[in-house]
Amino acid sequence: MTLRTSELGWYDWWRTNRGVGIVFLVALLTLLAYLFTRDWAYIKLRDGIRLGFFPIAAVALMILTAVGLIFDRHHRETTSEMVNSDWRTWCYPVIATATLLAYFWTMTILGFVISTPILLAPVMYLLGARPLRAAIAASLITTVAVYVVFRVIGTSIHQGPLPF
Amino acid sequence: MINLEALYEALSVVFSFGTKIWILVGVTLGGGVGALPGLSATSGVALMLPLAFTLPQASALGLIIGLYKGAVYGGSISAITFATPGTPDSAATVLDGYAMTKQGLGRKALLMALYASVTADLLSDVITIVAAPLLAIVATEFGPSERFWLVVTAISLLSALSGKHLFKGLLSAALGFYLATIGSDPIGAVSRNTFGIWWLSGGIELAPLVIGLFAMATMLEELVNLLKTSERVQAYKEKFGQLLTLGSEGLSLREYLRTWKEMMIGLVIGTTVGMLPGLGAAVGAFLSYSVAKQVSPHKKFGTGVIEGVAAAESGNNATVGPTLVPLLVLGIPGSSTAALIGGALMMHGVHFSPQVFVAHPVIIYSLFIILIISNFVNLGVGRVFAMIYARLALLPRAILIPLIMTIALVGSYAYRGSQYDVFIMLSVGILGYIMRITGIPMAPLVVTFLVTPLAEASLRRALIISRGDWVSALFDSPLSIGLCIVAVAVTVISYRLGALERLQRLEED
Repeated sequence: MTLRTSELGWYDWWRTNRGVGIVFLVALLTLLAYLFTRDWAYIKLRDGIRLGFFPIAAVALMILTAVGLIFDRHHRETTSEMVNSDWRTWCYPVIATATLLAYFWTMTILGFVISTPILLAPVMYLLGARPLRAAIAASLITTVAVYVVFRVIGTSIHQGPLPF
Repeated sequence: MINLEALYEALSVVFSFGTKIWILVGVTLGGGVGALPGLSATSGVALMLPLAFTLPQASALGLIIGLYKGAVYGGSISAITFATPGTPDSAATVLDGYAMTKQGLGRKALLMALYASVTADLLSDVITIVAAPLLAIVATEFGPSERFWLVVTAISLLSALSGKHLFKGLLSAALGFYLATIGSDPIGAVSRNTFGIWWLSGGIELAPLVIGLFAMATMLEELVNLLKTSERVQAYKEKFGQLLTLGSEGLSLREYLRTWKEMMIGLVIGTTVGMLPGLGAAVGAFLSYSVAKQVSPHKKFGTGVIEGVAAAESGNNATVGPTLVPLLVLGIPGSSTAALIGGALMMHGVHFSPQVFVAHPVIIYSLFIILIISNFVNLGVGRVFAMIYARLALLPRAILIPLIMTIALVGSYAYRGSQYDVFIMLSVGILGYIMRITGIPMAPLVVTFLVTPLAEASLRRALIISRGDWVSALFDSPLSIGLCIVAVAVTVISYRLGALERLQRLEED
């Protein structure tokens, strides 16, 4: 859903399409500068094209579209998610991703069967599954179900110290 | 010409026990995925890609096509039962479907949705099967420069039609282009754009990319919403009692036949919309509903009439088969789901191009047969499991979100047994989350990611043929020039006229 930003203050510029465009533009100019400093980008291939031509062309296109976001007729608009965003909007996904990385690292040591309920039960409880024993039961059932499905179809999965 | 030997082989492969089971699994899972608000057909197909990689070609196709068809229909179940469409494709079904539920005619609406979906889907599949090979004959005449401009035209169209904001669509496409250049160049296989990370020299695999983009990003958004508010949980609890008021009145043959006009409108509009890159099932459903409403004002659409359900559901399901036409004819997917179907077959060594009908006839015939028979499986599964799917929408998000995140993580690892795929999936998950929050569409990214190697190879072949002369490489025929003009015209016209704004206003109305 797209919204106009007439009720937002000047300090909310970053929530608008123009703000998104500026953030992208800064990141993309940095990326472009990085690409221009790489030796491989100047290597000429047999067909006469330089190795960096397509990556640089892609970044140049992104820069053009970011400039478009900054200046086109929708630049004052925003999405309802951006209007309602706060620190939680940006921090929770990072925390969730870090938790999943930690889970994956634990899985490589303890295996899927042990590490999965250790992750799922507290996360389910934290998200609102009540009472605690329901969260524990749900985590155990889903672990076994996912494990059985992955085993039946023969895909690789970390075993850990357990024999299965 | 029909290759009878290949057709016979395809029939024996598709009607083998294994393939039939995977079609059944696909349709059954798809119905559930569609009924669960927050998960779309694309998320479901993305999650199944690692599994499809391990299956034989026909079984993989059966799983994915079955899931796609099941999910497009499944979205209507929660739309009718709770006024909460399981997928955006079924948003138009809420208008009459939920009104029927409130009148105690929920079961009738569910059956109408099922029959309209299957009827329109089946007929549009027949159109796809007839049209695709004929169009492919024309497409085989294309040279490298024409193929390059076709890709550019398709991406312009997709970017222009994927959202209200053209520049966001183009940004998404350019991002897909950039991600596809990571790894090595497609002709010389020289490592490039890897940021000095050795494991990126193989490039980014499609499976972790789409799992991150469609499954992980969606779940991250759902997770944030759940932690910030419990409104959605409350809403479902309030609506739980409505499951009991669905009523037991079924749908008679006379009532089904009475909706033929709406189903035909849905078929024509859905098939046309499905063939065009970027529009998708939601637009098909809303356009079909609006046209049917205009054609028959006396039927009082929106007050709970089966004609409304038939128009919306035939309009969205009729896009399913035709969305594969650009992929089959040109090798260019017209939607995210078509890109994933193309990607699943690429994992099995099938590269889509106009020559695919000659190079892989068994696969193409298998695809056509699966398109047809999965409709009948959808009909059977839908009749048996509709009420169970309706209850799925009540599954607590507190259990569903961590479960899907775990499946996404383990699935992306299990795909090749590579921890680096997990890192890519999680990184793309964050990227996809940012795109969702900022309203940047994802379809242009995934389609451009998939077709960039084709476009790059075509351009470089054209350059080799023209001995490095860019002008003759890019514009060596009237068709190349024509396609270039179309690509520019699509971009300029969509920017100036804001055609998608009107379509979106139609959805909001």
